[in-house]
Amino acid sequence: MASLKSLVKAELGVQWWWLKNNRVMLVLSFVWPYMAVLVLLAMGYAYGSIQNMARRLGVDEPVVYLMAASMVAFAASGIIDNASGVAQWHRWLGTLPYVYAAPHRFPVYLVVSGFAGSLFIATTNLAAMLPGALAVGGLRAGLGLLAVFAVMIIASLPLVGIAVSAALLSLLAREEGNVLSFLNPLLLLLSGVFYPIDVLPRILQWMSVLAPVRYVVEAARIASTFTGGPVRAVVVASYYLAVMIAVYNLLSLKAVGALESAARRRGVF
Amino acid sequence: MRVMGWLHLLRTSRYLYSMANWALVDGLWISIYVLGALTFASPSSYGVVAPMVFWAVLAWNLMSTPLWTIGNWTRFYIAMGVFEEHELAGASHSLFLSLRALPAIIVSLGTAAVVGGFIAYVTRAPILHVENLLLLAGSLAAITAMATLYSLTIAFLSLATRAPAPLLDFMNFLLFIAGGIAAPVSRLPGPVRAFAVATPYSHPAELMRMAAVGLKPYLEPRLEALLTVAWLAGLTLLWLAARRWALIRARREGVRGIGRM
Repeated sequence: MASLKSLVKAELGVQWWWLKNNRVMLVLSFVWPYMAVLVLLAMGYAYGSIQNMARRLGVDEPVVYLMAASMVAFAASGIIDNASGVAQWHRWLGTLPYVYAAPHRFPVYLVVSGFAGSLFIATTNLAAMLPGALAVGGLRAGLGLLAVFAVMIIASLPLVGIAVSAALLSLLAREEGNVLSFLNPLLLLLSGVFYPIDVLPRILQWMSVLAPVRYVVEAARIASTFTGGPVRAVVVASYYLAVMIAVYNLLSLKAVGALESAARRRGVF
Repeated sequence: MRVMGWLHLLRTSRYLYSMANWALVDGLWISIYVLGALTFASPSSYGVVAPMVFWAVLAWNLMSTPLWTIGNWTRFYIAMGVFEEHELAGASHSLFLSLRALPAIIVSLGTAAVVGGFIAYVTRAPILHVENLLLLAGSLAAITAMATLYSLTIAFLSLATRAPAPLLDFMNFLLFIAGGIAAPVSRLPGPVRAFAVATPYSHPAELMRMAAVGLKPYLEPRLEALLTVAWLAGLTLLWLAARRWALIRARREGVRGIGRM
């Protein structure tokens, strides 16, 4: 347990020092979520009106909703990208054998590294968006954003096993980059983050039921309507996500073992 | 040139899944935002809005993908020792780097296919209907050429100093929103409109919209064409200056170091 604690500490330290050594990145992390809102508002106003958008999404406070949705778009399901990204980086730098030879099991390292990365991104996005939400929608909007953040963290738990499997698969592929990085935007696309899900093709609508991020988006919508509240948003989303945490991780447990063995056999490490 | 082009395409074919994944990732990300933007529009306006959005997305891809495949690729160019190989063989760095535009175009077209599929499905509008095919091809070629020249400038500068990738991405987004790519210049608010007119991509983008849906450009079409050519000439001079400076510096002091942090 002590060694796991040291691993978590080290991974959070890596994130911290990476941001400290990349000041431009740090500054832009605070600007990006607003840029996303701006892109939507700019394109939206050029081609239509925000009233149309509010009506179709069923939200009462469209700008606050866009802020929450932008935070979700940048941070939700980032655990998959982070776990695969760190595995690829070690491969490129030639440090993969050393990480594999370390006392922690490699999948554990991937989980901790992926989770630390996504937690950092989610927290940065929350810190960036909170002042904006408070300024536009007051205390209620701020609480709503905090509720969405909480659901987002819970929603990354069903993806732990998938993230490790994706990272191992991307190593097995021996490609230039992470060949499964499409999973992240795909989950987001299925969630209907900026649009109603019923615009998607029927097959994608069915698949969206299985996407954890969809329930984060539902929470964001509940939090930005006058009828729903932040607490209700968390409760409703947690119900679905609890089931997903159990089912997804149990299913991916075997896959992780098999993929690690395959990677070892093929000399990936 | 043939050998270099063949090598880039060979590399693309060897990393086929990476390239396909890249196009898919970009396509999905852009679709998320495009579908979001379409919720603002009323369905009755889809006939005009959908093609405009589609061509804007393609233009943005053509301007942003080379930035990654050329401008931000120099870390591999340096890390793998390809820079020194070219120096020893007396081969052209510019030619080698600019031919990276080939995989960039392949990725851009793949991305456009993904986004176009979603736009066409959601709006049921004829997004590929074009009023003037020749003008459309010319304006897209001008956007690609501008992006390649800008990316080459960044690539040569990054032989000496780190190319701040997030900043490049930010600039791309800024140009997309405020530079007359995402929306017609005439529909931008006052000060943003002035900014858009002062940036290079707005002029071929205005011609592109005229060619696609017949939308009148903000300036006279001839003036837009003239400004496009002027910007191309200016960007060529900028690239040549950056190349000269970077190569003199690299031959005297070597190239920059590479690392994760």
